[in-house]
Order: sequence, then structure tokens, then C-alpha cells
Amino acid sequence: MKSIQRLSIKNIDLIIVFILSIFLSLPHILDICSGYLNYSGFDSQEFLLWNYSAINGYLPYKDFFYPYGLLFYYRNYNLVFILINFSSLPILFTLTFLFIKKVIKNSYYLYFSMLIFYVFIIIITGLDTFARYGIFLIFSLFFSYIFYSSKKIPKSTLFITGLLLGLVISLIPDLGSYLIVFTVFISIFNEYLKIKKKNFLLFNFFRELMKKLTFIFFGFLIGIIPLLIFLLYLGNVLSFLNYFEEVQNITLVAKTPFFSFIDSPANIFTLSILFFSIFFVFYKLLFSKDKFILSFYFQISLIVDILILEQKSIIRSIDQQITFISLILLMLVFYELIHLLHKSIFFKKTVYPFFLLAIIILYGSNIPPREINIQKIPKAVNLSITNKCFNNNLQSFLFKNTSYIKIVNYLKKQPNFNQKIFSFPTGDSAFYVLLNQKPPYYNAIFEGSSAKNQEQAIKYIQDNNIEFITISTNRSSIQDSVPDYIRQPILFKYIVNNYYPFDKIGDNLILKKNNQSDFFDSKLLQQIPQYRDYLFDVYLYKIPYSEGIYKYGFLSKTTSLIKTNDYKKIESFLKENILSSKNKVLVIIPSLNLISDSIDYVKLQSEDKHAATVFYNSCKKNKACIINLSNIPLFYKDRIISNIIFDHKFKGSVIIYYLKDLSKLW
Amino acid sequence: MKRNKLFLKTLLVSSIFLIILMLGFKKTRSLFPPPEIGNDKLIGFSQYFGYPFYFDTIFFFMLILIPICIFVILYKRNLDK
Repeated sequence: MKSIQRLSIKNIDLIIVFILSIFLSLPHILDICSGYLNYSGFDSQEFLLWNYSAINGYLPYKDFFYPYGLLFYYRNYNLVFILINFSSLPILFTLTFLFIKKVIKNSYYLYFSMLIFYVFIIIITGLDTFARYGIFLIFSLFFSYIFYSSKKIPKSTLFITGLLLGLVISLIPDLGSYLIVFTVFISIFNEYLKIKKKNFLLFNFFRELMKKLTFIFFGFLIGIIPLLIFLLYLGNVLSFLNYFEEVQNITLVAKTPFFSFIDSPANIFTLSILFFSIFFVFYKLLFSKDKFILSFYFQISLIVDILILEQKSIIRSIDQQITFISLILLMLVFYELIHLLHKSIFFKKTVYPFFLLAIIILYGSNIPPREINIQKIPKAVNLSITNKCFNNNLQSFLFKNTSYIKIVNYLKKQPNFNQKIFSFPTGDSAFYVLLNQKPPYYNAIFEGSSAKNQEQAIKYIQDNNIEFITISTNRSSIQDSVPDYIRQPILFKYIVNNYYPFDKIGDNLILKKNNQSDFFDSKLLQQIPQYRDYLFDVYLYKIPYSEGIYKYGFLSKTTSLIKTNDYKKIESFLKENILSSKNKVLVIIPSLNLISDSIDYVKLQSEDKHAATVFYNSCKKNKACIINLSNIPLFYKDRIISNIIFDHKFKGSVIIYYLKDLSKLW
Repeated sequence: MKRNKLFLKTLLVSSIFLIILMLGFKKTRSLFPPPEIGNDKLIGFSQYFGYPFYFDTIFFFMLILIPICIFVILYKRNLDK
């Protein structure tokens, strides 16, 4: 009892910080309970669906693809999980305080740094972001502390490090993967620092490194045993392994430009600190003859953390989310720098807070502040305690989006309706929630874009005997201005060829199973001119160019139906021959260099009086542009091509191929 | 004093290099081919608009490493003197 008392007195500051953190974390309950309602586009529906799935007992990996791990999946499940997730934040704040305290020992600097960190998280980064990426931060600081604190790290410590890694990857796979990269790096770095002052022997270096990594690996294997038992019990080990393959695919689909947005306030904030810190650390590495202190280890860790998370940001921007790590790095570097100066204590104590405040105000004033509605907290607490977050969120969503309930009620009156629906673009998920339906395995467009996953969506439609499909016509592209029929042509082709417009409610076109009628003849489609144009004016941008670079080699080895340098001859060819669009590939090779990135077009007319115009970035002189006709919505169905009209500026050759197997082409 | 000079020199040379790189960013990007659409037929922003997939990563590390390389070169030259 006395020892507990003594321990409490010794760590009274930690206890105070923890209690204070609980109060300061209270707004997090809003994020946990209903934060996803603020997400834009289909994102809020995706989170609503996951919330629904957890409550209904659907299992991630087994029943559907879930990217964020078990800890976040069950966070809205019931009060126990809400409390687990809520308590993670005070723990993270307390551990941040503990680690900063190890470096900044003076109370004045320490409490000021912590205060500014709290304010930064609440106003700029957001509590939910810290609850997620803070886990990565704390574990990386903890691991670097372990490596710093012992000259010869005990095997048990290495084993525990591995064990923790296993647990993190079980609960949050993406952060766990980052931590593995971090651990390997810090092991190599620590080994390098140890041998730096001794004679460098490559063999010894690798032997010591491998020894350490082996113990970490054994710990890791034990750490993932609970997850393996859980997966084996449910029979979905393979689905979990598949998760990592799918994440790679998501990376390919989700990549957006990074350097075009490098001048965002968050990027300037992080990259300036990163750039300066790397320089500072490198300078010390080269010139310092003293023993490397803990601050140096932490600075290295934070730089590696930022570098790892920047790789994610390069794929899809999370610039604002990672600024809190940059802030800690700035604090540590600036604290060390200011203490290197031969100035008075008063000067240091004045400059440190002023400098940090100035940087944060400069950054914060250039971004919109986060809204914190304290009045909503009691309601969120009440909803969490009574397990009513999901019901409340669903009602809020339906209140804002009235057409969903109208469509469901309308469909329920239809004689052939079997209480199941499919929605396109994929990710328009509220229908599954309203109909209490098990969602498709790959629901959102990001994970459902690969050819294999599109086939799986088709299988879902067939297995569930889906009679009705909804198409949201006001969202031509969910993400990044890429049309949904470009991302999921196999799935969209199946829908267009097997379903026919039946009615229109709000912006939704209701399709009914019917493979006899022509989708493009529908009068309902004519009533939505914007959507009709979207299907007939097809923008392929760089796809024909890319296909030409990589695939013309094999395509040119096949026999062409017509090859001409005068595109006007195509017209006479089409008059003399009946050319079905089935398995046809159009190759356009300009003989002139047009202005870089200019848009060219080709108009394809069908015998049944329809016409599709394909717009694309013109290819360079003598480089082939490939257009696979079966991926143009109008030619999902085989049609006789009556004419092909080219851009009047175009000069060059045109080739039409018949390709039996189109699987190599997009 | 010598170190401070070295530090300033590095900063100056790196800044010139970085400014040239940033200004020539679009030109450099056009030297990279667009990403290939593989058998999985995945189309995102990169494949659709022909944005080279690994360009940002390569460019990012170039920005980070160039000042360090310049620093090492200047440091070695200083030692030789």
C-alpha cells in the first residue's frame, strides 16, 4: 500500500495530466459517436455501413473488406468499445507528456510545450486524428527509448517489442505495418551508432542486427497469436492476408498528385520542420563528439515517423493530420538549439514560447479552425451510454438525404422486389443499411476497382437475385474526377446490359432486371440530359496514350482489319463492310506533333443512330493511341459501327484491329 | 566559424538547387512515362491523367537528399583544403 502511495506521489504530475486529459478529451466522444456524419461524399455512408455491420455481427475480413483494423471497427459497437477508444486518448496524451518530460526536464518549458500541444491537437489536428496516428507516435517514441536506454538490450525487451508490434498489427494493420518499418530502421540506426566509435566491421554489424531482429520477430509471432486464433476460429485467415494485397491495389487507385499541393499551409509547416531537423540531426551526426542524448534519438524517430507518414501523404494527402508530429519535432529541436546559445535564462524563457506561438499562429491562421461544439457533448455521452449512436446517425443522415427512404419505400411496393438492392456507383451504401442487407464484400469504389473485385460484385448481384439497381446520376465521379464507369467498366457494363431504367426518384435512376431492351434507348435516360451526355461523351484522357506505350507492341503483331494513312478511307470501308463493335480496337497514330496535352476526339456513330464521342489526350508523333471500343459505354452492347469521324486537325494513320482476347487491354 | 560558413554555403547552394528543381517540376514530370494499366485494370487519377506514379516519391527524396549531398561535398572539399 505504501509503495503504491510512494509511486503515486512520485508520479503525481502524470496522474494530474491523465485526469486533465480525460476532461480535455471529452469532445472526442463526439467523433466516436457521430463524427463520420461530417464526412463528405459517400464517405459518411461508408462509415454508417461499417457502424451498421458491426452492430449486426458482420465480421471484417470475412464478410467484407475493412481497411482500418479491429480497434476502429468496433469503436461504435457498444459502450465497452466506445470507452476503450475514448480512454486511448488520455493515455496517449499522458504518454506524450511522459516522453517529452524525458527530454524537456525544466517544468517551465515542459508545461508550456504540453499546453501548446493540447491546443494544437484540439484546434488544428483534431482529437480523432491524434487518437489514430498518436498510437504510431507513442510506440515509435517508446521503441526508440528502449533502444536508447540500454547499452545491451535484454532479449526479453526485444521480445516484448515484437510482441507489441504483433498486437498493434492485429488491431490496426496499417499503423502496425508502419511500426514494423520504423522498428527495422531504429534497429539498424542503433547498431550503426554503437559501432560508429568502434572499428566498423560489416559482418559484426549484420550479425548483431540479425540477432536483435530475430528476437523481435519471435515476439511478433507470439503477438499475433490472438489474432490468428480469432481468424482461424472464423475461418478467414486468407481474407486477412488478402487485406495486404488489397491495400496495395488501393494505393494504385487512390494516388493523387502531391507536389501540386506542396504549398498547402500544412505541407509548408511539416516540410520546413522536417527539412531543418534533418539538417540539424545530420550536422550533429557529423560533428558531435559527445554521447548522443535521448533528444537526438527522439528527433531521429520523429523524422522517420514523418518520412513514413509522408509516403502515405504522397499517395493521398494527410498533410494536416501529421502536423502534430512535426510540432513535437519542432519543440525538441528548438529546445535543444536554444540551450546551445550562450544567452541568459530570461532570454531563452522568452524566445522559446514566442517562437513556438509565432509559428503555430502563422500556420493556424492559414487553415480553417475546427468546430468544437461543447453543447453537443452531453447528447453524445447520452447516446453512447444508451447505445443509440447508430440510430441517431442514421436518422440524421436520412433527414439530410430524403431520397433514400423514398426509394426504399417505392421499391417495397414493387411485386418482384426481394428486399435486396445494388447501388451504383458502389459506396452508395445507405440502401443496404435501410434494407438490412448484407453489403457486397468490396463495397467502396477504391477497393472494388480491380477486375477481380468487379467480377465479385457481379457475382453478388447474381447470387442475391438482385431485381433492382439504383444509379446515382448526380455523382458522375466519386473521387478525383475519374468517372465511375472508367474505374469499374466491367461492373457497369454488366449493369447496362442486364438492367433497364424503370423509374426516376430524385437524382436516382431505378433500373429493373431486363436484358432485352437497350439501355441507351430509354426515355428516362433522355430526361436526364446531364447524365446522358456523361455516358455519350467519354473522356479517356491519357488512357489511350498509356495503352499505346505499353501495349501497342503486342497489338501490332495481330492482323488488322484496316490500316490507312487517310482516315477518310475509313468511311468507305464502313460503307462496304459491316463492322460490329465487338472485340474491336481502334488505334490512332498521329503524323504531326500536336500541342502537348491537347485534347483530341473521335466520334463513333452506330447504325441504330446513336453516337459516342471519345475525348483523349493526343499522342505524340508516330506514337499509337489505343481505344478499346468495348469499354465505351455505348458499345458495351455490340453495335454496328456506321461511321467514324475524326478531329479535323488530325493527320496520321488509323488502324482497326479485331482482338479475340481483350484481357491484356484496359 | 568555419562550420557556420559551411552551413551557410550549403544552405545557399541547396536553396538554388531546390528553387531550380521546383521551377522545373512540371518539365521534370513530363520526362516520366505515364503508369501502365496492368492486368488488374486499376484506374485512378494517375492512370487516367497520366501522372507518373512514383514521380512524387522520387522527387520527395531528391528534395530531402540534395541538401545533405551538397553538405557532404562541401564538407569534403573543406577538408581537402
